[in-house]
Amino acid sequence: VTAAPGPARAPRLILRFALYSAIALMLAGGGIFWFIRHQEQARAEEEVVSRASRVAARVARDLRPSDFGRPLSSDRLEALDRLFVDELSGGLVRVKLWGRDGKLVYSNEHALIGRDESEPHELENALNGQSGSEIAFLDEEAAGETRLKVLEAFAPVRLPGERKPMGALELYHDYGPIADDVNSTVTPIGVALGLAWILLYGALFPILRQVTKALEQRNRSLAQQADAYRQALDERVQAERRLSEAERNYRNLVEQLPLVTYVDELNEACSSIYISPQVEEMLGYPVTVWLSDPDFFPKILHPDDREWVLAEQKKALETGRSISSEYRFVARDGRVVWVRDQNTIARNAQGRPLHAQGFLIDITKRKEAEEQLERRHGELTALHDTALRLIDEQDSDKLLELIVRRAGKLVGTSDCYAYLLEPESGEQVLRLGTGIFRETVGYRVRRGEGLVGRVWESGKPFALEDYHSWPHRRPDLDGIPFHAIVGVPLFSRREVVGVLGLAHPEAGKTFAEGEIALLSRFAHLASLALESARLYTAARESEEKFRTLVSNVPGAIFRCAFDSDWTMEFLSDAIVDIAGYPASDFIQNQARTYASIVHPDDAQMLEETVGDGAPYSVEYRVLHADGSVRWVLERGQGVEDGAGNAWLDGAIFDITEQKAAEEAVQESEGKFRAFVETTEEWVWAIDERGVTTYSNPAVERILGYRPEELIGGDSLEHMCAEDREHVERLLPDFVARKSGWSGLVVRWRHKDGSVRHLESTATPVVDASGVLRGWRGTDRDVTQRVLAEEERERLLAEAQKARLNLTAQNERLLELDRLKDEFIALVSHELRTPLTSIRGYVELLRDGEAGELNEEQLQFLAVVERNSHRLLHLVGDLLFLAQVEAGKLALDLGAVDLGSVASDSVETARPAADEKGVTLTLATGPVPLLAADRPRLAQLLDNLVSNAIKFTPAGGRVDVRVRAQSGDAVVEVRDSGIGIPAGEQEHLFQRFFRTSNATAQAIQGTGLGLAISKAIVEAHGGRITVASQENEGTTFRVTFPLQQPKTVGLDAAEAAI
Amino acid sequence: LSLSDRPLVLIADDDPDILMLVRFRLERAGYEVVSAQDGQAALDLALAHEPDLAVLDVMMPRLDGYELTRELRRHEATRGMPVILLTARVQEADVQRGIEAGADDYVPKPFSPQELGARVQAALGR
Repeated sequence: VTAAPGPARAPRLILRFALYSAIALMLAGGGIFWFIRHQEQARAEEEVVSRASRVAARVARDLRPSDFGRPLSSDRLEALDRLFVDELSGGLVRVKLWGRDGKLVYSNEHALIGRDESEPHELENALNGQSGSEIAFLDEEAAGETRLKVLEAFAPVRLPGERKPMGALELYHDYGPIADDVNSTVTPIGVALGLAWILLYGALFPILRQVTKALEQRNRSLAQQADAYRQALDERVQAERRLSEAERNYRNLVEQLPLVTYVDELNEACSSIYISPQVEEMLGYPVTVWLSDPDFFPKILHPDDREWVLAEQKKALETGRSISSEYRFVARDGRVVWVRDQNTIARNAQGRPLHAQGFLIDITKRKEAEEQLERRHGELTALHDTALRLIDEQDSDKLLELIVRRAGKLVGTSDCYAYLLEPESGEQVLRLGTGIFRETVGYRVRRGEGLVGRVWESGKPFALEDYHSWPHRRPDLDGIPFHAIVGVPLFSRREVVGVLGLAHPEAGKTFAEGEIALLSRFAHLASLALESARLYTAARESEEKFRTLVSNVPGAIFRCAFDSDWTMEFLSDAIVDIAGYPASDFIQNQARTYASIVHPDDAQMLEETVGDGAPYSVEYRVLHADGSVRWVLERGQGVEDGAGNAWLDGAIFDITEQKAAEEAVQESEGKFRAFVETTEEWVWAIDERGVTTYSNPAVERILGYRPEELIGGDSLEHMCAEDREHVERLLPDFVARKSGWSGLVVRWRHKDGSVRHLESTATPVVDASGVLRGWRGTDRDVTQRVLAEEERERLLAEAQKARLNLTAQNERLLELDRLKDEFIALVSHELRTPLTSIRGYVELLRDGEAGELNEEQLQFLAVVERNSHRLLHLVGDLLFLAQVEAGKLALDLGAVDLGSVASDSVETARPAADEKGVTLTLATGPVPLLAADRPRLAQLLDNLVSNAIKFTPAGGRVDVRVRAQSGDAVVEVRDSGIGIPAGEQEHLFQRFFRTSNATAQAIQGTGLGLAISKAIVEAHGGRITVASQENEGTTFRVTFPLQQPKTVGLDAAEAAI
Repeated sequence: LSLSDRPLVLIADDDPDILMLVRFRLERAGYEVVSAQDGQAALDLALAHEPDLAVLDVMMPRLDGYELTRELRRHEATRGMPVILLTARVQEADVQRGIEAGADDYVPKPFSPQELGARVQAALGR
């Protein structure tokens, strides 16, 4: 299929056609023009040539042969001028007369005479007797003159009597007039041609367009046809696809169908050659049985159908037509099976019958359904007839009789009964009985009792084949002779209000299911009829009741005219209670008009409200006979009676008390409102669905929303999502318990996005009937408080964390401490144990326990002993410092006299001082007792004094002074020793530090003494300082505060335990 | 069992040098000596020989001096036996522990053998 030609083609076609035709026309026009022009020119030339001939003939008479000799005399020249002068008009501009020799004999322009001919050919022709012409320009011969286009014409000049021309005459004719002449002839033709061209196109274009359009349309329709064709093709492909699919489906379907396919011989018994296995399922006879007996088919045909079926088969055989028939088989198990037989005679190519083939379809179900349908149709017809009768009957008793009779008739029994519910006793009472039930009218049954009670309870039909053998029968009915019995419910608004039933007195006769169903349907109809009769009765009774009701209505009922007096047609007596006047006063305005007791201020309003009588409700005041003012509510509307009169019907109620209450409420509400509107707290109300119904203006300050933004909306909308979930979990409980809440702190989202903590308290709103209608409550902004609490908690948590950290750190420290202790103990043990052996054995040796020693041996042992003693001392010092560093220096505090300690130390050191030749002095002033560890202080002073002696050369002195000075106890140990270089003093109290002087002079020491001294001083809260001048001496000064805080020492003591 | 009327002293120390030093000194001073190198052996000896006095090192394998003292105080036979503890641990707390365990005397290491002899004599003389 090709694409349809585009619509752009047609205009191009037209354009091309116009262009080509225009060129063709122009060429044709040009040709015609040129041709005409050429003709005209030729004609003009001919004219000039003939003129030349004419002139030549005329002048020849006056010319003389001598004229052709030369030169011309001036007289002759003049004569010739005269001869030609007449000719020089009508466009003739020049005349030339040539001689045979080609020389110019004469010209009206005398300057040219005597020249040679420049174009001998033309001249030669003229001399030979032929005239000719050509177009030339005049200036070819006379330069400088105006270029003038001219037509030259030659003509031979024959003198009289001369056969040969004597010369030739040449005329120059101005071409201008000729051209004009030609143009004037040609132009109209050109114009005419142009016009013709335009006209032609004017006429041709519309035609062309029409043609083009037609072509386009044809193209389009062709394209459409092509599309349609293509679509048809597609559809056919799809249809084929669908068909093959359908075929497949169909085949599947057929294979699934419960069909029996068969092939029979063409005999009267229809003996089967083939039958499909489904037949066994259908009829119970297997295929083998079916095929082995040629007469099987007639045998299992239903006796009623056998004859006609076989006859029909025979007929089909004879006529060769296909038949379709429905008939019955008797199956192996005795069932009657309806089948539809679709039979065809199969033939060979020559048309000879071969066999019968077809299929059997089980249509038993359909047949049964059809039969049932027919039966039901009959029943429904009966029901319909009955129903019409029932609906007409309004008298309940008569109706019931009718129902019972009809029910019996429907089923074919005369023993019928009808129970109806007696509302007062709540029992079913047998209201009507016929036949055997006639005796039991008035019999009562409770719900669930016996057959009727069961029908009542279940609302469903109930049937028994033999009542007297039923275990739940009522024994008091034993005397009544019936066997099969059935009961069906009678309904009114879904409630069972009665039971309709039938019985068969004869044994063995039962009620078929269809009969029960029919009876049920009939009972439905009967129920409707009974209900309708009941309603009719009730309506009649209510009408009567209404009449008495009016007089008891708590208000004055009236009917009045639409006039300014409100003239009363009817007014109930209750008006006395309202206005203090009897009703009769107002009827027909007998004593006064109703308008006269309407409060003057409300009269106009009343009139306006009543208006044209559309239903209205109005509150106004009336003037009571006792002078008081009463509020009334009047409701009414305009009515028209049968006679076409317009009335106002209505009722007037005294609402004075309600009004008063209402005002009181309004007043109190006003107070309440004023409070609520001005309070700082958010006061709100929500309904039971959680929709905000009220919010006071305070909410704007708290949450940023104006009350009108919240009212009508979800009250939890601005709650923070997490808290909202929490509240939504709580709500069902509040709803269930109809309770409020208090102190519920919830986070809300302020309009500006910030979070607010609101403490909510609410009470439930429960209406008079106990139904929860919502909650009212107040919310207080507790954001500051909550934030403060949170801050406090945060700080607490931080503190707790810090505490835990600290505990952990403490534990680590304790662990380190323990390790240090262990180390100290270990070192102490490991160093002292070998020393114990050394010193122990040295002592044994020295004491002579291993035999007497000589002097030298004893001297050597003394060295060992002294050095072991130093070692022991060093160990002691090290351990002491280790203890100090571990903070384990234990002070055993007591009251210590510093002076006596100093005295002991000095006395201890004196032997050494004496030995060295150092003067040792002690000066003690009165010093109060110190709280101190005496052994430690002794150690301190021993250190200082022995140090001073050690570093003081012989002849020097050591002075110890003890005194109290400005609240301190001061000990000074001054020596005149070697002194300490200034730069070393600051290191003096460091462990293992030894001054350069000490090492230089090989003075023994460990460098621990002063470190230990400092530790002891500081443990007691004192200070130790040094002042020294090299080679002059050193002074150590120790101060203990006399009012030293006891805790310093005690802390240390406690830590040591 | 010794039949001699010389007092029997039990000494215990894991250091054999010290053990020998003490034994020498005490035997010279006229005591009969039994010795052990660990706490458990010392306890066995004490229960077997019921010595008149015990000189015990504190830091010993198996049973240390404090534990051994407590054990001795638990048994009827050794309950009243004087106990002198030897130790290189001279801190206040250590001394305290020894007294609490039931020791009668506490001699810090290093000690003078002669002084120890004097202390033993003093303890037995009570």
